[in-house]
Amino acid sequence: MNTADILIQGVSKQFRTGLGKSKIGVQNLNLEVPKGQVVGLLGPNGSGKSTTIKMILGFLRPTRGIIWVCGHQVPSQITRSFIGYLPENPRFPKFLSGRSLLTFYGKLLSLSGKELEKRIDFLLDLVNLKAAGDEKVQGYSKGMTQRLAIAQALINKPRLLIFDEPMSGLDPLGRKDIRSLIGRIHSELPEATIFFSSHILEDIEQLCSMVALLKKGQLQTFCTIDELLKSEIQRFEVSVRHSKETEIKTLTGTDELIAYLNESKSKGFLVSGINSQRKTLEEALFRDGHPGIKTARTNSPEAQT
Amino acid sequence: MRKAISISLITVKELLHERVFYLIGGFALLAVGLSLLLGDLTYAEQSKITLDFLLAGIELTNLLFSVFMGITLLHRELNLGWIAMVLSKPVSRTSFLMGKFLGQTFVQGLVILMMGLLTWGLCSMNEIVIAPKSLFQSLLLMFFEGMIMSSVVYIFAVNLGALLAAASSLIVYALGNLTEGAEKTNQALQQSSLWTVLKAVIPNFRMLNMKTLAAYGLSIEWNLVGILFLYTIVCCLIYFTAAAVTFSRRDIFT
Repeated sequence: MNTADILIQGVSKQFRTGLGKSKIGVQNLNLEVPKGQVVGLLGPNGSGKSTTIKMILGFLRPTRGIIWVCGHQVPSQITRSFIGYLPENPRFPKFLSGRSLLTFYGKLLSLSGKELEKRIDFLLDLVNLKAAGDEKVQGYSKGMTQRLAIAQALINKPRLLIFDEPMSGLDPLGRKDIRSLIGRIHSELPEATIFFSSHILEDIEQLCSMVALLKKGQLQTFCTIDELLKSEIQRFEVSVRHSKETEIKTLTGTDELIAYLNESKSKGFLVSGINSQRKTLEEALFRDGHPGIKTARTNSPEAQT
Repeated sequence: MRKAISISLITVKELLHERVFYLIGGFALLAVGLSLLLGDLTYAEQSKITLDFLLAGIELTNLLFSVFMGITLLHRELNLGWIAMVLSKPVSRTSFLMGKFLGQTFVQGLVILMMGLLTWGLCSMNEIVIAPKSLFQSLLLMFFEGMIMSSVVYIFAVNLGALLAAASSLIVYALGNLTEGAEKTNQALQQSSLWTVLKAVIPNFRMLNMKTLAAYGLSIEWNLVGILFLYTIVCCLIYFTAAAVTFSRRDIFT
């Protein structure tokens, strides 16, 4: 019995773009997402992140390969009963209120009565929309719409949460909001697997325990964040005092550090401090050069000014 | 089925929000204008022509409702991405289409009923005698026609862009009204295998048209209405199944 919540086996997706022409969306993708992990699907635009997610949901049919969700083969209605999905740029019928939309989605999940009402109250509170719950969605801001979309994804206490670019199009405050909301969701549903795509490294680094990197429809890396960062050589900042001056030297790797410490000792310098610097995910991934992946800094409006 | 009903209720709200009842307002204005225009005619002429025109107006509104509302309902879901949040729940694509169809058909029935009541009221005001049975039967058959037409529209709407879907649906409607007459005028058509296929695929809308009878105050046997209802159900099942099968197989990019 496979314990993975998502199992993707040899999946490829080709799109027909015209007469006799086709474009590869995803190529021979193999991925096993274990239960209870927060997994980030990272990659530049057009790398196949959304295609992968849509195939998991059964919106797109793979050209080749099989996908399993919670032990059931996709596409099937059963798989979708385990899933809570937040699409990229969610949009709702504007003539309904947040509460009536959640009621509608709850009914589609066979929930009803007091149980559904209580769940909706809880979710509106969780996503900080209690006051605006009875207002029409027409008047919601982008951030409020995003939070409502997260609430609808949580109605059935899903075992697997799939978020497609959850922070897309939000300002830095909105992104911070959604990040902390995802953190709260993880504590509300600790058993749940959260699988989300992003091309913003900071989000992945802060939220995920594992990361899958896609490039041109192919899987480049899939490992835990720790493994990815540990495999990198650490940097050290060593502060050395000599003749009333303090020199700060940046060293790469432990061998270089030991050699420098020995040298300093022989010269009679005083080592006043050593700071080890873990590599960031950005550095770890850019080592191999992954163009198109943005850091939060370059993506934020403040950085552009 | 409960999920389809939930979707149909939302569809009803969506259509009401679309202000489809403005259609009825437009129809009322047209009807009042018509009765003023025809006021100078003799009683017998006025009675028949007014009723004929009003029923034709209801039929046209019914056709436009089936084609444009059907296409709008489905294309808006696909283009705006509302469908993503519905189909990510354990809802089959067939249930989704069924919900849309039921909601649309319900509102369509209401619109026809209201236009029928308006026709009744206007005729009563102008002292035009209407045979209630024939008017009701005529409206009922228009409703049947609307149901078949909507199911035809769904086949095109889930597979084609809005413009092509509308054009294809209107062509089917025209063919459905012309096949019987064309066969009567051109006997050679009966020998053609292509014509046989066309007749089998295209619904016969002519059978459901009793406007002229209603204008003369004539009605048909209820048994015949029952048979036409069965014909409607069979047609809807066939066209709806075709729409559902193709929709289930297509990729949804939203």
